[in-house]
Amino acid sequence: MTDERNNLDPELQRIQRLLETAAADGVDQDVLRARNRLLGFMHSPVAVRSRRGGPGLLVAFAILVPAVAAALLVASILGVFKPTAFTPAPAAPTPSVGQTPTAPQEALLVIAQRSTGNAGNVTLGAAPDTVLITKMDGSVVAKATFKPAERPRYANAATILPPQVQAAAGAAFYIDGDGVVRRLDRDGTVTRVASFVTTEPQHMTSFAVSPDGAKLLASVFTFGAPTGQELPGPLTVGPSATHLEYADAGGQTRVVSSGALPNTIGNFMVVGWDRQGPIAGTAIALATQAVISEGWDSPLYHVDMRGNTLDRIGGSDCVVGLLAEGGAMLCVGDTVHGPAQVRTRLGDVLYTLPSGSLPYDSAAISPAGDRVAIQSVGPPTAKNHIDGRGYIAGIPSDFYSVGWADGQTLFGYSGDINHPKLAMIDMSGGQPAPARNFPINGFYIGVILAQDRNPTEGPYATVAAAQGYIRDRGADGPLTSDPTWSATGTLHVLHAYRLGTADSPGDYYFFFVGGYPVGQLFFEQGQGSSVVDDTTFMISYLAAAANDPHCCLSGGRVSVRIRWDGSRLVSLDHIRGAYQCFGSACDVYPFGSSKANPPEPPAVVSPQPQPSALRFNSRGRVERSLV
Amino acid sequence: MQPQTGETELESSFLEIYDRHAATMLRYLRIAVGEDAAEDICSDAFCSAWKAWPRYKGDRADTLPWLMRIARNRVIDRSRRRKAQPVDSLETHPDVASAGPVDPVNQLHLEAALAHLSKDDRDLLALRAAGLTHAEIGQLQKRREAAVKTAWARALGRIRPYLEVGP
Repeated sequence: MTDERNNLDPELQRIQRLLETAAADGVDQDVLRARNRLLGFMHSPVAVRSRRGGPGLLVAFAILVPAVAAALLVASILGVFKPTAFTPAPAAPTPSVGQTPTAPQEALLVIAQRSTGNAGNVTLGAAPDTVLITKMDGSVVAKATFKPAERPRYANAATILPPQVQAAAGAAFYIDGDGVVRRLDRDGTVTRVASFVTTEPQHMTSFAVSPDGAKLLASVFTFGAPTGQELPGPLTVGPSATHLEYADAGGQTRVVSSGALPNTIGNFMVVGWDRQGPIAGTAIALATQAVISEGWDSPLYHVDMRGNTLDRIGGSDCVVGLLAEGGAMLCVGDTVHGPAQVRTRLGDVLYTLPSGSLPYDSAAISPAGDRVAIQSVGPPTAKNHIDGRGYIAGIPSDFYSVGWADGQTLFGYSGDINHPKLAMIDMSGGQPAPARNFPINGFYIGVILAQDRNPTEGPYATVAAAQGYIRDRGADGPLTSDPTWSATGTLHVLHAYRLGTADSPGDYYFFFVGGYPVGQLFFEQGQGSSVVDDTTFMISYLAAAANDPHCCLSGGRVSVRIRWDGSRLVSLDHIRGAYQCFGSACDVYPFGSSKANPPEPPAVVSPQPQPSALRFNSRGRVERSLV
Repeated sequence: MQPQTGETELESSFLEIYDRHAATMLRYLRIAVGEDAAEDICSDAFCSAWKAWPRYKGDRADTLPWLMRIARNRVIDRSRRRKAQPVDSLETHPDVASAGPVDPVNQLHLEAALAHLSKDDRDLLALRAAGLTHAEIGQLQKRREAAVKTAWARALGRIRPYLEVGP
C-alpha cells in the first residue's frame, strides 16, 4: 500500500491516509461484534436446520410456511393478530440481562458503574463502562456494557469528564469511548442513536438529548498531546478544538460549528435540553487542579442548533449550579458569597438558602425545586442539610448528595470517600430518615418511569408528524413517503428501515388513513412500491423459498396490492413467502379505534392461521417451523 | 448436543477465514456504505458465506476475493434498494447548517465527501482503504492493474475538492 501511495501527489496521499484511518479506526471492536453475530447465526436453529434438514422436513415446510405466513400477514393487517410495535432489535456491544417485570407507574433508576465496582470520584476518576436500569429495590431491569471513555491528559490538571450516561426520553443514553451514543430502554433494547466520533486520540464529549429522544447536540472537545509541562506554559501540542455537532437519533451527525479550544476554563459546552430547546454553559471548566463541587457553575443559556445563545436561564446574574427537572434551578452567585437561591427559569426567586451555604461541596435539587440538599465546603463536620422554603433539616455529614429520585428520596454517597457506597435518604416521613445503602453500588444518574408515554395515535397532520410516530417506534433509517401524502387523503404509506440491528434493515410499510395509523407490513427485502389509486398501494418484495435464511431470499419477486376498503385494510393478492413480525405489543389499529376502544375482530378472508405451526424468535419474528 | 466432528472442523475453518479477513471487509464497508451500516452488512455477508462454505470450491487458502465479492454484492443490492424508493428526507432540521467547509480530520465530513462520488469511485476508494492492492482490486473487478491504478488516482482527485480545509 505504502509503495503504491508514494507515487501520488502529496495532497492525494493525505486523502488516502485519511481514508485508511477512517476505515481502520476502531474496526477491531466491530470485528468482535460481527463475529458474535456470526456465531449466533452459525448455531441458530435456522442455520442448523438448513444444513441438516432432510427432504421430508423441507417438504412440510414448503407447504406450510407460505400459507401460514400469508394467513398471518393478512390477519395481522386486519387486526386479528396484533402487529408488533416497530421496535428496534438489540444492536449493542453487549446484550442486556434478564428482565424483571415492572409495574406501570414504577419509577426506575438509571445507574452507571465502573467494572472495578468503585464509585468514587465520578468526575475525575475513570469513566463508567456499564449502565443499569434498576427498580427502586435495586433489582436490575436492563443492563448494557460499553467501551469507556479515556479521560484526556492535560499536564498537571485533571480533565473533568462530562456525564457519560444520562436519563432522557424514558431511557438511558450513554456514550462510549469511540463517541457512539446508544440508548438502553427498560425492556433491555439497545439502540445506536448517534455517533460523535473524532479522529483525535484525546477527546471528550458532552452530549444532550431532546426530551423526546429524537435529537442530540454535543460539544466535542479534542486536546493536543500533553507536553508534560506545568502551568504556566504550553500544556499541549497539536490541534485542540471544540466542535458543536448535531444528530437526529439514528441519523447522520453534522458539525454545525468548529473552533479552536483556547483553554480549559470558561468554555462553551452543551449541558442539557428542556422543552424549549438545548441548554449550554458559557463558562464550563474542562480541567481542574482542585476538588470541584457538584454542578455546572456557569451561566447557562438556551441555544439554537448552531450554538447561538438565546435567553439566559435564571436571570442575568444567575450562575447556575444545578438544574431541576421541573424547570427550577439553584443559582450560586459567585459560588463564594452567594446568595444561593432557587429560581425559576425566568429569574423569579422561589427561596434563598441560609447564609453560609456557599461555597458548597455536594448539592442536589429536587425535581420540583422545592428542596435542595447542600453541604458547604469544610471539614467532615461542615453543615449538611436539606433546605426548602421555610424548611431546613440536617442530614449526616458524611452523606454526599447527588440527586433526587422524586420529592421524597434523596440519593448520594456515604462511607469512605475513596470507596463510597450509593445510599438513599427517605424524606416521606417529613424528616430525613437515616441513610441506607442502595443494594447496588454505582453512580446515580437519574430516573425514568416504568410506563411508556401514552401512544400518540394521530391524526398526523403532516408527513413529518407521521414520521415522528414511526421514529418513536424505532425506525432509524431514512424514511420515505409515497409522493401523494396528505393528511386528508385516503390511504398513504410511509416506508421505514431499521438499520441499527443485527438483522437486515428490512422494509417496513406503515399505512395511514386520514392521518391515522391503520396497519403495518414488514418484508425482509422490499423491492419497490407505488401508488395504484387513492385507496390502493402496491408493494414488491423478495419472497422466501423453503430453506432460505433471512439474509438470502430466493423465492423471486412478488407484488401485492393492499387496499383500504373503507373500514379496514385488505390484501388483493396472495402474500406468499413473507416473514412477519408479531409480539405482545400492539399499537396499530383500524381507523377510528384505539386502545381504549378496540375494534371488533374483522372477518378473516384467508385461511385461519395456525400458530402452532410457527415459532417466534427472540425478536418476535416468525421462524421456520419443524411441523 | 455436541456438534459432529465434521461440523466442528467446518466451523473452525470458517471462523479462521473470518478472523483473517473480517477486518479487511469491515474497512472496505466503512468507506463503501458508512460506519453505521458496515457492521450489519459484514455480518450478513459472512452469514451468506457460511451458508455456502460447505460447497465452496475455490482456493481455501485465498478466500478474500470470494468474500469481498459477497460484500460488494451486498453493497450493490443496498444501493439498488435505496434507489427503488423515492427518498424524501424529512427530518432535516432547518436550524442546522449544511456541512460547509470540510475539516479533513473529521470522519463525518469524510462521509459527506464520499457521498458526492459515483458508486464506482467510492467502491474503488473503499477497496484501497481496506488495504487491497491494485492487483487484487483488478482481480476483483476484472480490470487490468494499470487501469485500476489510474481510476484510483482519478477517484482521489474527484473527492479532493470536498476534503479541502475551509478558509
